[in-house]
This record gives sequence, C-alpha cells and structure tokens, in this order.
Amino acid sequence: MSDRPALSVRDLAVTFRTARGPVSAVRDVSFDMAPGEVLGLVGESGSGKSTIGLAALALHDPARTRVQGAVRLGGDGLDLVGASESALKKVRGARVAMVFQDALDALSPYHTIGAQIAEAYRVHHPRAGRGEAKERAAAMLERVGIPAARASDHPHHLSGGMRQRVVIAMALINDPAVLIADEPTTALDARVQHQVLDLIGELRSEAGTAMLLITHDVGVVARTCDRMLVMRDGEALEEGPTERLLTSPAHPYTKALIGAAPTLDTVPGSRLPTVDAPEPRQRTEARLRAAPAPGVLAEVRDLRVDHPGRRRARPHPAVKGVSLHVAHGETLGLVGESGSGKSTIARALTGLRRPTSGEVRFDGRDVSGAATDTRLRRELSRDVQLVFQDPYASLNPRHTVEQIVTTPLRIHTDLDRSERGRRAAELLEQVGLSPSHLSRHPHEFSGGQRQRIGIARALAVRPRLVIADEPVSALDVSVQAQVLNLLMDLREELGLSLLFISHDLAVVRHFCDRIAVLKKGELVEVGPRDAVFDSPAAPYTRELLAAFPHHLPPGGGRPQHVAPVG
Amino acid sequence: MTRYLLKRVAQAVAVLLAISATAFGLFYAAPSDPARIACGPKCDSAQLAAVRTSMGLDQPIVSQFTDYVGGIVTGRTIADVDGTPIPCPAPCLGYSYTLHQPVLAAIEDRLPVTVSIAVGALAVILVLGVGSGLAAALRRGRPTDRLLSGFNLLGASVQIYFLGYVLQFLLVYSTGLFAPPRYVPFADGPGQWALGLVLPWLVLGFVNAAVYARLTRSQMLETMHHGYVRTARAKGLGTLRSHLKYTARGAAGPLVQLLGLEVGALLGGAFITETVFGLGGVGKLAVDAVTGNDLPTVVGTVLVAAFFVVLFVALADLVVAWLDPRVRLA
Repeated sequence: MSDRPALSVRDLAVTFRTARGPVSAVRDVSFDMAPGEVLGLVGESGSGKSTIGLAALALHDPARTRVQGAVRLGGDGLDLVGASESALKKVRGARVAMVFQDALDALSPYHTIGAQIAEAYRVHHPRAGRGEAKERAAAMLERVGIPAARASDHPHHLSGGMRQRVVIAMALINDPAVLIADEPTTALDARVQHQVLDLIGELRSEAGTAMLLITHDVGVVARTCDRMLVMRDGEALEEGPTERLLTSPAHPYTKALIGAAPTLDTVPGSRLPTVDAPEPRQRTEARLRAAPAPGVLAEVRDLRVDHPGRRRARPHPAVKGVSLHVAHGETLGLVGESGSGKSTIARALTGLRRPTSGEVRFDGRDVSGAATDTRLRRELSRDVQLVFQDPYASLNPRHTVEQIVTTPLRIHTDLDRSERGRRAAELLEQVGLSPSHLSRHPHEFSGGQRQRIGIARALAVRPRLVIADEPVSALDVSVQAQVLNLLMDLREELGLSLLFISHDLAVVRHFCDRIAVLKKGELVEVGPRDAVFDSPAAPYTRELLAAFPHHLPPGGGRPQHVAPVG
Repeated sequence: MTRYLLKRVAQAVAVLLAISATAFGLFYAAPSDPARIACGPKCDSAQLAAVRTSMGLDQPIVSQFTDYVGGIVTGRTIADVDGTPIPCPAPCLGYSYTLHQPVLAAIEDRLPVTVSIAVGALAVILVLGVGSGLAAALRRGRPTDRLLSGFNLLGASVQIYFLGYVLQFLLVYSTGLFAPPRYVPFADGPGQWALGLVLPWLVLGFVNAAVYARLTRSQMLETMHHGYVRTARAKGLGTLRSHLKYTARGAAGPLVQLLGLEVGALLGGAFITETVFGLGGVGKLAVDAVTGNDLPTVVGTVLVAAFFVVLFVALADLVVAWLDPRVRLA
C-alpha cells in the first residue's frame, strides 16, 4: 500500500433541494481509502451511505443537489466535487467505477450484455475498434465466470447472480483504481451472494483496487472489509478496523446494529437488541410455549403445484410433492432460496392457489378446493391469515389504518362499527402502535410501523394459523429486530401457530421451533431447529449453512471458498 | 415469427371482415334506396326494378355480401344502371353509381393527396411533438420546458379549421408570403409539391403534436429514473448521450404504438384539413360519399381506412418488439 490514498473524502456534505426546502443527506463525512483496501460503509436506509457512493462518482443531479467538501482521487489528486463534466466523464468508469445494487435495473434490457460491457471499454478507449472492445468484453465475461458465448444474451435471459456478475465485469473492465459497490449482493440468495462477494474480492485483490462497499448487512462487512465506517442519519458515527468494531464497538448504535441481526450463534428466541433498547430485558420466566400441544393444525400431503406454462409450453412445477404440517402452537420455519416453492406452499395453505394434486388440510378438514370455492376460502380465511413481505405494497394506500385493520372483522364477525373500532384500537396497542394512529393513512408510517399494521390486520380475527411470508426481509436490521421481538411476544401471549417463511437462516433459527428446507420445489429436510442447524442431514442444508455469512469467522480468517454453483 | 405473422394477418382479415359487414349493413339500415339514387329522380317503377336487378339489389343480403367480399379477392363484373357490364378487377371495392367509376379507382385518384398530407404532417408531428417532448424532458422544470409545454398546449386547444383559415388569411391572402395551398404531384417536382402543402402540414402537425410532446416528455421522465441510465453515466457516457441511447430507447414503445395508429388514421383521410385547404383527398371523398348517399364509396373508404389502421398498428407492434427484446410476439 502506498502512502497516498486512492480516494480521500473530506468534510463531504450533500444537501437535496426539495419542495419542502433543503434536506441534508450527508454531513461532514471524511475518510480515506488506501489502494487495495476495502472499506465498509454500513448503515440503515436513510443513513446517507448510497449518497456518498454517488458523490464519489459525482453522479448527483446538480440541479437538485448541493455537494460540498472534497472527494479527491489518488494519482493527480483531482477533486471530483466541482470538477467539470468533461473531466468527470474521463474519470467515471475508468478511474472510479460503480457496481449498483439491483442488477436487473442497472442493466439495459434493450442491449446485449456483451454490447453493454464493450461500451464501457470503448467510451474510454475511443480508438479501439468494435472488434477489440468485443474481445475485451468476452474476456471479462469469462473472468467473472460467464461463458463468452453468452455475450449476445440480453439481461433477462440471465439469473440474478449472473446479472450481478455482468455489472461487476462492466465496472472492472477498465481496471479502475476505486470501485464503489452499493449493496452488490443484497438482492441475491445467500449462496450466490457468497460467490459474488468472493469474486469481487478476487478481482479486486488482483488489480489492487480500493473498494468502498456500501451495505446494511454487518455480516457482509465482517467477511469482506478491512475497515468499516458506521453511518447514521447522514453522519459518520464510528470508524475503525472491522474486527475491532465488531468485537468492541464504542458507539451504542454500532453495538445495536451489530446485535440487532440474529446470527447462527444467537440464543434462539431471545429478545434482540434494537437501537432504542440496545440491551433488552430478557424474559425472566421460562418460555411458556416450550412444548406445543400435540396435534396437527394444518398440513399439506404430497402437495404438487404446477405453474401453467406460457401458451403451449409445458407447465412448470413449482412444488413437487411436498408433505408438511404445522402443529398446534408451533412455529414451522420454511427455508429455501428464491424459486424453491416457499410462497407457493403458503398460497396453497391459504386457499389462494389450487393444488395440481395432493391434499391441503386444516384442522382435519380437506380444504384443497378453497381456491375455487369462494365460501370455503372465506371460512378458511377466518382461521388462516397472512402477513406479507412488502409493507409498502400490501397496505391499501387509500384506506385509513382503521379501515385496513377492521376489514377482516367486517367480513368475518358481526361486530358493529364501534365494536370493530374498539378491537382495532386494542390491536394497535398490541402491536406497539397507538390507537390515535387509527385515522391515519399508511404513507404516514415507517416501514417497521407498516409491518406492525399488517400484523394487526392479520391478528384481527384471532386466526388459528398465521402465515408470515418473509415478514422482515424488507426491513432494516434494527426494525427487523423490533418486529421479530413483537412477533415473539405475540406468539407467547396469544399462543399462535405460525408458518414462517424466510430465506434468512439466522432469523429462522432464532424464531422457529421446527425447520423445513426446500430446494426447487422439493422437501430436502425437516426437523427440530437444533437438529437441522447442528447436524444437518441433507448436503443441501449444509451447503446453505456454509454459505451463510457469519459474524467474524472464528480466528478472524476468511470463510472458505464455496465452489460456484449453476 | 412466421406463425406470429400468419396470426396477425388472420386477425387483420377478421377485423376487416367485421368492419365491411357493418358498413355493408348500411345499405339496408339507411332509409334511402340505393337503386333510386343510382337511377335518378326521373325513374319510373319499371326502370327502377331493372336497375335494382342489374345492381343485384334483388338478391338476398348475404349473397350480396359474399359477392362483395368475393369481388375483393377475385374481382367481378358489375352491371351499370343500364345493365352494361363494367369489369372490376380484384381487389374490387364495388362501383360508385354517383361517380361513375369503380370505388377503388376513385380512392386511387385521391390517395396521392392523402399520402402527401400524411407524410408531411407526420414529419411535423415528429419534429414538433416528439422533438419538443425530448427537449422538454431533458430540460425539465426550466424555462425551455415551460415554454414548450405552453406552445404545445396552444396547439392542442386550437381547432384545425380555425388555425387553417387564420394562417391562410395571414400568410396567403394578406401578405402573399405563401402560394395558396394546392396539390402538385410529387413527380412534377418535389419543391412545388412541398410548397403547395406546407400550410396543411404545419396545421395538421401542430394540432396533433401536443399529444406526442406530452407522451414523449412523460415517457422520458419515467425512463430517466431507471438504473441503466445512471449506469450509462457511471460508465463515462455524457448525459445527453446516455439519454439518447438509453432513455429514449426505453421511452419509445408507447410512442411507436401511438404513431402506428396515427399513420393509419392519417392515411384514411384528414377530412377537416382537406376541406379547409381545398384539397381533394380520401377524407373528402368519404364525407362527400356519406352526404351524397353514395353507399359503395362509403363502404370502400371505410374499408381502406380500416385497412391502413390495421396494417400500421401491426407494423408498430413489430417495431416495438424489435426495440425491446423482452417483448414476445405471441
């Protein structure tokens, strides 16, 4: 490492001009990155971390954004703040490159991936011919593990992991001195995430590129970064070597951020620390629900669900003969990568999806036909309620909270209006909101509060089974901790039976009594939590566990490499 | 692809059949008697019956219709009022007893005028509408944007007959800057052709441009927020180049589709413009046929207009699929 930093940020301040006046997104942030160093920029949504990433490429719209301070590049020490557009054009993609979060959005759907990578080369090598750029792009594709023959494919032909590799290839084709990676793996399954992070690490260390890794995931930082910088509300709270910050954080927020996400080592069912309560009071009494009552509440037997093929294409099986049950009072965790059929099983259990074959039973009754039988589905929804993943999309923006929460009561009970209102107030208190929120609309709430509203709605009719489909994946870690704590409390108070769907192994381990592992529509393994996590029977489960990012791997070493799959 | 094309052709034929059947129904729904119109006011009842027979009006409607459709495919011979046979080769759209010529020939006579008007108006729409929409989107919120929006609103709110007469009065009759609008065949000199039609082009284009300006602007603004435009800039492309290569590509789909409809409609005739500027295009032919109870011509012009719309909508779909590889032709 040379003495001169590859990127030096001094007193950076970014202010957005909005209709309501200036909003400060980043205030007085300073840091240096040595060549070859990886700096993790960690924080929750709204902390200003992505804003810093864009400022490092001067990509903010000057008409709406005011950037102050200095962002200096190594070498000639060019200050990107206030540099001319023509100077910036030479820097972007050549000396500083960026890997964006959502590869599907970051790649043009209209051009082939080969053309898009070659363009990145040609912009900075105007004298290179089309042929040379094409060759470079093909070589770069091979380097990120994609056969060069796929250069003529469009992004929608590629899997999520491959798309992210294309974005990485595009960023690294000009050997930039600085790479900004904004949540490069957030949208990916743990196993693919693992591969992509390893790939970035390899390519980066080959070329000695300094990398700014922007993420909300402390686990990713732990396995990738030399140093980390914790951001909150636009300010830098704490900076230091990753290991020191993870083991002995000085700032309470850092502590909370690290503790808020359960890991594979967290005591299952314990209350998680949140930003507001960094050291939560653990329950004094033993968990009441240690032994669920015997007896099956809901089950699927040899469930098979086919997605109809497009036009004359053959139907595509989403679930291929799965048998599962949820016992009274227990929480069953359903784990698997995207496309494994988790949500389809949930939809079959709620009567939203008709099984192609097999049986769906609730409380001993065959409810397989609920998807096509309105009356049966209505009866079923009296007992089975859903909590959805996206708290923004799953609440009607035009309804008040009261309307949202009381709708199930209006359909399923004969409570009159005032009784329904009373029950809604009671529910809101139960989920940690105030009855005064009843007259508000969803947009007035934060993501975590909205998810609480969704939970209140699901609990309104006192269902016997709650199906929670990735209920915390769209939330920031500290909010996720709050919602998980809430769900654990409610489960205890109300004796709920839950089907909990998640791709996050640590969350599932923390929250569930039994675990079912799905792979491509088939059940790979099912068993009590400790059995599945401590001595997984199926190789696939072991693979999933190995790919899952641990906080600080034992001995501080990097976790072993997992061979690329697929 | 071949299957897709075949399917589109079948679809088009079905649409055209339905439209021709509807238009054909006019013969019977209309209170007037085609034979009497063709025969003229001085006909006695014997002559009328003869005319009716020679026109085929004594046949049941279904066989009249199949004769008509068959004529489009294979051609047929039609009897004039006095029974003289008139050959009408395929595609035969019938014979106008008012104009005393086959309907297709009547349309063909006027089509060059209509095509000329459509081509120029389309160019004006592209420049004024799409061009100003692009400029407004790239300079959103600034004076350029507001100025262009106001200008286009003016175009949208003014009527062709008003603007047409005002411009003719100001530019032709008061100041003599322009020659009176007239149609000169393209073959007689492109300069004369363009000069004679420039006023109708401007008026028709300007009045229609606002829709395209608005759509272009909103499509551009929507696409602009896509990550791939930012990616292009992060690669080192200039702002304008990123927008032209990536934003415009993403914004083009709905515009192409609307343009397909527009071209089809323009080729079906622009009656108001043709009337205001005294040009004899297909639009004027159609409206004259309606007012003059010339039913064969009505059916023929309706069919031709529908044909153009169906054709250009299908072409637009192909262009959209070519622009966006995710679109599956099915």
